[in-house]
Amino acid sequence: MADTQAFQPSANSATAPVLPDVNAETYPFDFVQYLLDQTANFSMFATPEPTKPGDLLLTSDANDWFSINGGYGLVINNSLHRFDSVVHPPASDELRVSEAVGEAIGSLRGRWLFCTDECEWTPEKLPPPAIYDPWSPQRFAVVDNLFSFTEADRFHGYGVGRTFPIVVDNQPKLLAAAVGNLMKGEGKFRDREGTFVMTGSITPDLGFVGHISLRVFDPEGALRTNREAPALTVIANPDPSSAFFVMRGEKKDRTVRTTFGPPPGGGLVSLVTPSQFRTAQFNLMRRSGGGLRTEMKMGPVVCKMEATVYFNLLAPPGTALSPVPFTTDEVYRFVDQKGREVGTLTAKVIEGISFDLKFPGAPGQKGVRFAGFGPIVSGTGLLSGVQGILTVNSLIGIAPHALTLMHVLHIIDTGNNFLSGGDGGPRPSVAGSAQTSHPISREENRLSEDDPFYPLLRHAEDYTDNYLRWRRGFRKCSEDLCTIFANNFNQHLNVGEFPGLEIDPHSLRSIFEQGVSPFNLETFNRYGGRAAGVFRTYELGTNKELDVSTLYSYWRPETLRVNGRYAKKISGSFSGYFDPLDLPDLSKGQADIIFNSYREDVGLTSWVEIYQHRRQQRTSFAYKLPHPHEILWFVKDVSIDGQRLENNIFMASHEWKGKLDGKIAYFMVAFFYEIDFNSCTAQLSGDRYWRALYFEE
Amino acid sequence: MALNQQSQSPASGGVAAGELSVASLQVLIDQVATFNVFVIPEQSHPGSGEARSDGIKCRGSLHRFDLALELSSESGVRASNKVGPAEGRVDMHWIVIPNTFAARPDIEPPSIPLDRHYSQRFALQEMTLTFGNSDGFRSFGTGRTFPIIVGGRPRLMVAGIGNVMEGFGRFAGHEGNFTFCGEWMPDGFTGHIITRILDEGGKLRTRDPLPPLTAEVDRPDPDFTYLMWLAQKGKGPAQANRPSLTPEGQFRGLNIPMELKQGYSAFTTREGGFRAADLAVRDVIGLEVGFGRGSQPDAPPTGTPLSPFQFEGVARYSLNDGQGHVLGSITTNVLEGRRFDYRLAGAPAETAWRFGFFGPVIYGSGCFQGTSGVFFGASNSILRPPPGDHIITHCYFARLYDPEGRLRAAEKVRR
Repeated sequence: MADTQAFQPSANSATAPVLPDVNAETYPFDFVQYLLDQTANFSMFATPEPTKPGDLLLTSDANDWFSINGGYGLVINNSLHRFDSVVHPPASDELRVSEAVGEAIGSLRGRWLFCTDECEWTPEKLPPPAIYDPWSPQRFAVVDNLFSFTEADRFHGYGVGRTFPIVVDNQPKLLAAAVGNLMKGEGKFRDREGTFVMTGSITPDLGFVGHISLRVFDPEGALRTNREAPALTVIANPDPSSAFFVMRGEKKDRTVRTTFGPPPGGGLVSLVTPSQFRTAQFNLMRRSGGGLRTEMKMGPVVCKMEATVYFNLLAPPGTALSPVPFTTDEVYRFVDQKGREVGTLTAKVIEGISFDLKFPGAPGQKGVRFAGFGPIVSGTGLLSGVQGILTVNSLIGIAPHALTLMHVLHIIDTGNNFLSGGDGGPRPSVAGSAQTSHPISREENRLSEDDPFYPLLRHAEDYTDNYLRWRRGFRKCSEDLCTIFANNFNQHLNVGEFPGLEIDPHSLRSIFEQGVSPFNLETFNRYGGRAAGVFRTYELGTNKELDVSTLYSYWRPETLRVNGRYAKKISGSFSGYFDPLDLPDLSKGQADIIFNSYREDVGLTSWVEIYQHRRQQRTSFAYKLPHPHEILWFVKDVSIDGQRLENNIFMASHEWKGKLDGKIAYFMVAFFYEIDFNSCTAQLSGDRYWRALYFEE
Repeated sequence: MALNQQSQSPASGGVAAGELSVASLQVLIDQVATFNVFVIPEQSHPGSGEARSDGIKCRGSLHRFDLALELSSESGVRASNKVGPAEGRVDMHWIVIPNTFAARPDIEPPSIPLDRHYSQRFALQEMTLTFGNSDGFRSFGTGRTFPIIVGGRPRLMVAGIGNVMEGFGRFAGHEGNFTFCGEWMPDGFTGHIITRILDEGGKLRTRDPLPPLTAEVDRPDPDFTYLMWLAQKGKGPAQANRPSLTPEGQFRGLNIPMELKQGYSAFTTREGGFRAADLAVRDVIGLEVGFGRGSQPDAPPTGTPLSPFQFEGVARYSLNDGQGHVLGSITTNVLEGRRFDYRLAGAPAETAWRFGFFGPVIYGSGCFQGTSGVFFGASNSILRPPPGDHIITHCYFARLYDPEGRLRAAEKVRR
């Protein structure tokens, strides 16, 4: 939890650090919230696989019987299943969660090595061993942990855990929880940072059954999607005696303050943070084109929580080899739709690890990635007498103290007081106003009807069906079109004043198949302010330069929230810069205006009203390509001089950001195509294409 | 048989270490009276089994307990458990103690309430076994409770290790130890005690065959089956002990393979007082692979009645049919082992060990698939560090939950 770069104690007082203002906004709160939500969230159910003779040893040395499975450790061999857990809006007399365990989507192999109470986080060394005692609480190290989702997409993890022998309804039950770090990834997990935490039971066959949450920081969006997940193929609940409340937590808004509480002693500080938790659906899917993807939908608030976090303010930032420990005390208050409290639950994290978190899109912003687990201590109301385990898996900002929390309340439910649905029933889903991983409900902006960009917003809204139809066409024709576009662009890499950027047809195909990619704020904000672009027109076939012109673009730096969109106002003129908030009389034909926006269903789109030379309307939609700030726009002329255009001609504009002559530059290359989505063909249209080179001012 | 071997061994006294053969040392460490006793709580004893602030005092009757194993490819592993008529009594004073308390016979331990939901440690501050009217011993021991659910009902299993503090009657002057495993019932303890009393003079044993049980009484725990087998070192490099090393090359403990064997023991109190039959060691029936180590890293290597050496370990026991095919295996964890050092009169330069141990059955396969219960035993040995010799006889037992009797032999002698 600690980040000394964020918490700077005074130089002359090592014992009494000056407590920083964790609510200060290094970057705007909403922006940091957005950055934190660039996280792929996995909610999975782990079921034990039958052991084989070869699995019985903890090590490969079959002649060292220290390693007999069940002696000083357990061989963990799980299949990982898709899992839905939807918390119902609490009622005065009922608090329920619907669960559905779906088909296997990966596997987990590893070893839990029991260790003495003194064992510490030592990824490079085995812990001091202790013999497995199912009746006693024990600590263990999670070693050789391999999460595999495909042959290519997998990662090794390391962690620590504990067993919790409990008695429920006079029956002993052995719970176990563990927390760990993504140490080395492959495929989509390569060079990623992530944290996993699990809670469940140890079975009589020495297996683990329970829930695993995994959160991988994913600013590139390689592991996320906004596409609807396919339905689960529901299997029988492997642990119907447990209810897993999987919830998403956050601050209600930027006005919610985090405060320092009384110091708990031992050189620690305490941080008191109020938050709210929503029912949420953490979907996980594996697609043939886009590979492994996660998607999150959020529902209504179901409980409020106050956490007191204890940590060492002076500890250096946590690393994979040396995370910073923390503990918590947490109180969850479930409220019904009238705001009445129907039950509270008190739990604590007793084993917590935290790591430094940096944001590529916000270099000065401090953050922490952390996870942990601990026992449910007590409950009241509908939660009176419950037992179980809390797991937390979180990413937070430090100044501002924005949060994105994934908490699981694992409640032993032998009396079936909480669990509903599940075995073979309909898949639970988040009811009501579902939200995606990019909450858009905060501080909506409004465009007044006299705003010059207001008509552009309306047009973009009205064109929803067209965007969706076009995207369906690209998905349908992805195999053919990706080759056509990639071949042509790649044949023109060396024309003009800057080198082109090669397009990988396989990658492009999967991007077309995937459809709308998650919102990428960095790309959306690839310009900030003024930039001048030199457009050069070339003749197809000869590559002869035909024309040169300079366009002056002005991008407003702020990103608006309008009608469920991220939106940006832009102007362009051949005569100079015009601030989109201070436009000339557009009828004079001095400037064009552009309204770029992102909405989750249609993705990134743009609407252009052209006033220079002649009146035109133009719209476009974009696909995010792999390189930073690399986009492929498809631009469609809508009307000219008020006359609607009915054709299938699109301009494909490939754009990316890079350096040229030591300066940040923005590159564009565009060709015109006539695209037939019925036959999945695309023909070059016209006799020219153009390339543009922008430099920011 | 063992007495005959004893008579062929070198004369007692004055034999330097290393001068005796392994076979001779094996004979010496087998000079032990080994007998199985079953305890049935005495219901007429007022207040028996009640938990009080000063502990739990209870009484039970002692019964000869005959155990035998049958192994076949058709029916797997089956055991006969025969409990004979009462031949003595036991008085016990149990005190539940904090987990961290190091109990000793000369210190009155703090008492905490019995909680049937959680595993707790206890001290047997007094435990007196009396066979017939006048033979027996007073002892001190420690152990643990293991709450389990069987058949949907909570049961409190207990296991512990005791050391003979003072013998009387025929047991006067004898050292020995015992391990017990059973459960707490409303009237007190019921279960099995394996006792091994040093008997180099052969006063407690007889070569004469003991009469078979002609009458049998019902056990109060019929949904459990007790298995007994022995273990000794076999021959060849595969049976050699080897050190287990950490990845850094440091000694971690000892890998110990053993041959598992059929075994039989019995006792009687009739016709002249207590006598135990010689432990009969019979055919090889399986293989043990195990790891053991001291469980207190900083403890001295010696074991005494006031401070026994503590050890732990994991082992897998595989039992075979007559053709060597594995019928089933169990993995067991020894959570508590207590070792007492002693000197052999026949080889005074040697340090011999007598010890007891217990722990849960962690996993079963084959005919033991899905089984649960407690493993326990008592043994005597001489251990020379690898590549030295290991001379040992283990008496192993498992108390397994077996409500349908799939591990139980069909035969039964009825009163």
